[in-house]
Amino acid sequence: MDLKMSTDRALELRLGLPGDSPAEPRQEKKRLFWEIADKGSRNDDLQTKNQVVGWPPVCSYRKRVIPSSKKEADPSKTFMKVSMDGAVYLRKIELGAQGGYRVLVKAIQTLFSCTGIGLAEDTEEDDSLEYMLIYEDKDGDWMLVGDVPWKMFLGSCKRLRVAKRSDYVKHMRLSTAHHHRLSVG
Amino acid sequence: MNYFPDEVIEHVFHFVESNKDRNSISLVCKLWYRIERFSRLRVFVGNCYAISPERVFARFPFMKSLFLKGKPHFADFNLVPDDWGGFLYPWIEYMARNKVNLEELRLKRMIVTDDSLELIAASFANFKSLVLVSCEGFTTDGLAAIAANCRFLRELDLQENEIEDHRGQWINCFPECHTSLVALNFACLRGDINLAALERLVARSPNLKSLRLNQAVPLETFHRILVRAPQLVELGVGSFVNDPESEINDKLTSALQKCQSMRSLSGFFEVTLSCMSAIYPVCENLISLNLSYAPEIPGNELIKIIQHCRKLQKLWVLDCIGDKGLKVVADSCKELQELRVFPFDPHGVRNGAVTEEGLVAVASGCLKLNSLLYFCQQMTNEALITVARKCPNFIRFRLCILNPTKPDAATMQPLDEGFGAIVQSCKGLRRLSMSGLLTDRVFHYIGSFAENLEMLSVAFAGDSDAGMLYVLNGCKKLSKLEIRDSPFGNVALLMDVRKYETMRSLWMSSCEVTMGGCRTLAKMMPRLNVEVINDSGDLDKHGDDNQVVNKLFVYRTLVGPRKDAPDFVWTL
Repeated sequence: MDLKMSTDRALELRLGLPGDSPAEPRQEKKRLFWEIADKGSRNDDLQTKNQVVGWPPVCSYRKRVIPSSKKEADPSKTFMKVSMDGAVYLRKIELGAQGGYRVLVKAIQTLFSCTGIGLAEDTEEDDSLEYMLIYEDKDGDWMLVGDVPWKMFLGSCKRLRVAKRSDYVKHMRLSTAHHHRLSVG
Repeated sequence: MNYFPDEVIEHVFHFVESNKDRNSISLVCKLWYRIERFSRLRVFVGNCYAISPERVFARFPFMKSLFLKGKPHFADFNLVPDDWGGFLYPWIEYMARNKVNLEELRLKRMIVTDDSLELIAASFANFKSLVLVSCEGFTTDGLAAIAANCRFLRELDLQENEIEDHRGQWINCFPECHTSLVALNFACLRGDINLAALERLVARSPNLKSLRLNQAVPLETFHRILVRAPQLVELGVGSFVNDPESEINDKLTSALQKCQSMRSLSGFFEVTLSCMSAIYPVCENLISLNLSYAPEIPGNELIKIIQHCRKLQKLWVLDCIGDKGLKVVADSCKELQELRVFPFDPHGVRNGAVTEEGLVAVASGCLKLNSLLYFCQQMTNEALITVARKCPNFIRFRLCILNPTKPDAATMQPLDEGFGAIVQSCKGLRRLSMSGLLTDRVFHYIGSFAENLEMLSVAFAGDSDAGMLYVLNGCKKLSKLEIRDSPFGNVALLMDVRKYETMRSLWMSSCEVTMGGCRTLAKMMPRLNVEVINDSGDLDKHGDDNQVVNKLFVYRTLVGPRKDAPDFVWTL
């Protein structure tokens, strides 16, 4: 019978490297991954056109908890947490909606109903500024806001903090004094 | 054994805990069958549709603990429609009505409703333990009912469930007199939690050994909990975000140092990297570490953490650890038995960050490795052959190459030889998942060598029916076979239909089986449920035999076609 013959042929053991055997009639039926991907998937709301349903086999719960590709897609749309020394509650601010550093400072001052928040360039000059604005970057370091171009800051800022300038200035004065001592001799 | 009174035999059986062994015991003779069934307290039902509650409790009337599994495994990857089935309610309803003394319930991939949870809370006075894994269909209101009414509840363990969070006060519902909690895991809840109530609960639970918090629990609360519960053995951190200059960091470090019993750590949904060093002292004694839900910890910090984990046996991590980090694992974690490396980008848009190098490094350094789940960018036969040689003890080997038909990255050949080496070397292999370019040859190897294989997952593999046939003919202990997007059709499906009664289930999707093949199978094997899942609506139920069936699920059952199937699921 036809069926039996084709099965026997299929079960035949052959020595030799893979790919050596004569062309098998069923090879053109083999489903290629990229063919399926191009066809798109039925569940269009779950996947984009170039992805296949259920691949990679990561369970849907995990896919929801780690939407990392979404995070990297549009940093300008993220809301950033802002904490302030002495304030009980944190606030959130849409970073991408601020036009630049000065606008950001104004917005944060409004959020916390305060004045006198300084940026990197305000460090030494202005004694009237009670606070400094600092941020945590991708490497986990805390940096003064205002040193880098705005767009670069948007991409690397993870959260913001309004720190008391008096803590910061103490540190500055110590290092200046040290320098002074060194130069005297 | 005929000379022993029944009580003595029963006493001996008491020491047999594994259900597999108990099943074997009950086949020896009628006497042993009878004694065993009255002494079985823990019942495992691997497919909730293989049997009915009536028959389970008729056989095991003194059952106290039930473990039920519902949907097929591929439901995890959205291949099974949501309302396919796996409903808990009928089981609870039966047990409540028949006054079963249920104390422990463990569920995987079932649809649980608030009604079910409320019925549990109302019906089982001695209820002690609820463990839900990958379940859905319920809300925090159901949890509130459990908390409020199960006076002796010791364990509430929610793993990776889809729970509608009503942000209510479910944790408040544990009454003040409830002091028996041993394990509480609500890491998968997405909403806020009443922090004060949580702290009070921890304070009045002296036996609490395992606590896994969700992302809404901030560092300050976490610290206070640690101070109250230094006896914790398993800890899931919620949010690990803090101002690095705050004095909490020192307090946290000293609180963690007092947790001498800590053996398992997880969570870290969001972190402040400069505070991570607080956990290093705890790492020295860790047996289990799960950072697979911590996308904010970069590779170099993972390395710092792992270097402290000298006693680690189980590690779950994201692939941002890189091959470099896996080499550190190989050097530091000589006791490692289980490794899972998940893709940082689960949507697969980016390439994975680990390759065959990382795997070879771990296999070379961690000689006790027996369980692997590895998502990687590429693989080679040479690497797999090396791994097979160095680690012959694999019980579970699951490899996922993010591009599923990718050949050997060095030789461009199929990965048949590599996986062939794995099955040949690892004689105890029970579970295998493969990916990459694979021909019928790999199935020939599996059929020839994988004598203990119980579960096989196949995707985008094989050339012809021969592939599937090698497996069905060769793997005597095969219990679950799940196949997607592979060229297997009716010839393979129908060659040995009696095989399926020796297995729990067969799943085939996007293969080449047709309505004719499925109808034939159903006709030949009345004790199988042959379910055609027509969620796409493409098929005509009374139509041509030649229609290709997109999703097929076949499982053995003692209770015939189920009555709760939705209208797009046809039991032929």
